[in-house]
Amino acid sequence: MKLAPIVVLGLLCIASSAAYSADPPKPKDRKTAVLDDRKDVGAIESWVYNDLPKGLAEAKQNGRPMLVVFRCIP
Amino acid sequence: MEQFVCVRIVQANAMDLAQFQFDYDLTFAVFLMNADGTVYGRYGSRSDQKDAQRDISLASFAKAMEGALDLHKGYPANKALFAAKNGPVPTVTRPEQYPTLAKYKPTLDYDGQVVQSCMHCHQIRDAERQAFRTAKKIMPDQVLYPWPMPDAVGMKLDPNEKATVAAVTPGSAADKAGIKAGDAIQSINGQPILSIADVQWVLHNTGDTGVLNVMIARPNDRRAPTANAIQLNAGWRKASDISWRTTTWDLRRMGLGGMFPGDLGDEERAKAKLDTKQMAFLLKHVGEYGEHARAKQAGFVKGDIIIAWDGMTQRMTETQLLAYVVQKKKPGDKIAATVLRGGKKVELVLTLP
Repeated sequence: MKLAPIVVLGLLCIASSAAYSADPPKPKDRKTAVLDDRKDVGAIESWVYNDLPKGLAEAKQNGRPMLVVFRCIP
Repeated sequence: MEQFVCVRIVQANAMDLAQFQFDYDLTFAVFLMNADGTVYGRYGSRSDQKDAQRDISLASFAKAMEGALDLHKGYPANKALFAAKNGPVPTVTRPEQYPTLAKYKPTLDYDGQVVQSCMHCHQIRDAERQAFRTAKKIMPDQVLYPWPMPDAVGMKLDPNEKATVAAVTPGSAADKAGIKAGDAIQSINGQPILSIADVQWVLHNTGDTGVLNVMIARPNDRRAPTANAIQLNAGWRKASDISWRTTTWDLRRMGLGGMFPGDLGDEERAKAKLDTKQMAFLLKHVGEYGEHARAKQAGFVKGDIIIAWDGMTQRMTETQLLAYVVQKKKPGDKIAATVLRGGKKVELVLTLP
């Protein structure tokens, strides 16, 4: 799956609000959500998943700034 | 976004607390930084439990990212600008150093109990507060009222802009400093400001008193940004509302034995024949497990209305009630309370966890 980074970010933001909404959707149990998150987001080439040292090394090598997102899995 | 190295972190386990200082009550927080660890800015703010998008938007996030890219182009020549963007090294540099978090391992157990192995960011704040309670020390304002929103000094910022003032509270510190609606904050105390979170960062690290030197650009004014000094007087943080915070749940355990009180509205007060200046906290929830059950064990019941608490009878917010208990009372102290139940007064005593 290849999603535009801004779309990924939008999904992250929306998911953030859903975590606290009055009637949050509950399609998955928490363990499934955690495992699926790693599988789905981890598959996006433009994101480094839960590996800060890898991100730092990449930024050091290519000189780009970093966007580090702390996002709880809803 | 293609111009950034994008990293998604889903755990607080083994977090470098010297590098990653942010509002741990957030479920979405962003660092705009570089490989040296230099922070250009932060993004992510919240002031309401249900409305997570009240203080954030994709529009303001895009502007913060553009700002970070501009700052990165000038790096390292502009490095001095960011000296205060990384906070002082804290006493606790990894969450697991807190006794209540010592059970967590550095990595998630994806092959086993993955959910249970994951430390949440809010647990860092919970652990910090518990350390003060365990030591029977007064919880300082910075720990009790973390990451104040700019509203605490009288500025409501536009969630669609980096840090543009949408409204100023008359008579507030911001008002006295001459800040106006429409002003765009460029820097505070020399720090470039990319977001509301950046303003919060400066506020969070300001003492009980202090001065914020705010550089603003004013619409339709081509002059260079002008300096405005916001004077912060003792107790300024107490204007913050902490009731929406996830970590307030644990404060309710510490200070209220697991009760979740809500100020009774004027209409309900009228029905109950209670004055608008009188304390009247409706118990929306009373905990059932562990130390959250202390109030239940003391006889408090959901639906009770607290009208007196440790001799106080004046109306106050939940934030003020919690602050009183955790800053004035220690574990083991007894609190006498009067509640209304079915229209009759009931006297109860709560022993604090």
